[in-house]
Amino acid sequence: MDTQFEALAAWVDGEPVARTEVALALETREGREYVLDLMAIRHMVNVSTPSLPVAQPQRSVRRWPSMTAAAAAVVLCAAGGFFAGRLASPVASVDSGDATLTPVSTPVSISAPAPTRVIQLEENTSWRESGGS
Amino acid sequence: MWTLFLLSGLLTASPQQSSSPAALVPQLQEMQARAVMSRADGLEITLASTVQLPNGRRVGVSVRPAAGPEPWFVYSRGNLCQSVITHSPAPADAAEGWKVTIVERARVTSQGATAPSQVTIGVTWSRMWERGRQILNGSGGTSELTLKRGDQIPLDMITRASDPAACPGTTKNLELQVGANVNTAAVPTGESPLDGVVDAELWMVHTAPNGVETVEHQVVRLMNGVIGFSFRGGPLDTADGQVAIELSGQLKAVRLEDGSRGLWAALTKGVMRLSTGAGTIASPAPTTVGWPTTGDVVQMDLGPLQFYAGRGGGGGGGRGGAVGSTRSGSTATPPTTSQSGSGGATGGIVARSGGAGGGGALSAGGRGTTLPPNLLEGHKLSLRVRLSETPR
Repeated sequence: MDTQFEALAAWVDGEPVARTEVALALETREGREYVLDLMAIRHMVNVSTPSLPVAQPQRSVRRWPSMTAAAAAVVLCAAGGFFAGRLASPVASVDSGDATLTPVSTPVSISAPAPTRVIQLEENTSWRESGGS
Repeated sequence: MWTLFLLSGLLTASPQQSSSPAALVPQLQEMQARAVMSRADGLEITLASTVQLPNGRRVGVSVRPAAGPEPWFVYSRGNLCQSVITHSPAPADAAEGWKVTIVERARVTSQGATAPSQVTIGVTWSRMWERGRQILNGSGGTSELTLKRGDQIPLDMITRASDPAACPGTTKNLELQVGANVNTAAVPTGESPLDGVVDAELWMVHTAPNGVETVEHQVVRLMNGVIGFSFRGGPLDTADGQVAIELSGQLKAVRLEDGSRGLWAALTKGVMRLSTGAGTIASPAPTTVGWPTTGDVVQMDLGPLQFYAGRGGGGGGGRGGAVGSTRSGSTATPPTTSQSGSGGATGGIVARSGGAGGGGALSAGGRGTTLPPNLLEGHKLSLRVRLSETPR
């Protein structure tokens, strides 16, 4: 998980990072929440820390409404992300008792329609090793 | 702003694709001939688009051979789990997607070798739709790549907020694969050109010994030619580590001897060890069924699943002996993929080597050796298919 967090942090910071690492990290609720937290923290740091070398133009007063709006947007997005993450997260696994193996967790329940035709495929080949997909 | 992107919802239903012209038979035969040639040296180019779901699950669509002068449109409609890969015309129902053109330049044979070991291609891609709108000047790139069998080249990725009710996917990837065809069944030449839009709802149904079904779902659009699809289920704990059930296949509308239309299917089942990304696969003989009518749900049973302690493409195993124990509650760990940087991609493209390995058949042979207990004894796998047709 630390590796995934590092990938997300690098991504948020605009550093080079493999797309696949970010994708995998974003699959988890923790990953998504981490990104949202990072964004909120970074925004707060940016607001409270003066820019070092850049001379501020005279229109700083006019920036407050936009900064406030941006901060509000971040807070709203963070809250929305939290609840979206909760909705997207898989349901915790249920111990199935005597089963010899169990799914690590159960995704959002999907059901398939009952079949109207059943075809039994002829298995004429044996199992073989594969490097995966 | 990134947060806003992450939280943006998926746009819902879009108009159906306006048209899907029937391809000419000679062109299809040419494509099939190219496919046979490519299969011989394992350098066939596959264009794939996969959707990552929570908990390591995955659904995807693919097409091969993907190299040719005509561009492909790879897109989602409605939600990320409704995937289409098609040639022109440009779709009207795309929500997220790309335009991709892959041209094969040459096949490279090493000194002393009898068969080519590398293929050089030119690929041009651009993002054309985002959130249901066609975009101009979307991200994209053009690359000349020299690839070898097993290479996987991610081109782009779209990240969207999850929509648990429709599709829990969060990312949709666009990638190239070389020699990724695990099912070597010959594609039948008899074509039954589709004169309308035909969407295939697919369900991978994994049935546990206690009868509990775990289902994965996606929708792919049939095309004139062969469309590929793939599923990967969530992690399962076994006494020899976590595994994932996989089901991939190809579908094609074919003409039957009596002149009617049939649905040809070549399926491959697999069990992948999550710690190594290796596993075992089996491909039952392809089948052709009468064209499913409206409401018809065809179930294709792939038979029992097998997984033995210590098996799975090398590198796995070593933890056998606890057959029958129950383990649960651990955290899912998506498989990791090593990156070797081959391929010479540019513009943020990363090449990953390996993946499409092969191996000898698994059998219990020789001097009385016996296979260890099947850790997936009693588990079954099937695919259910339902078609919906929209006339042009």
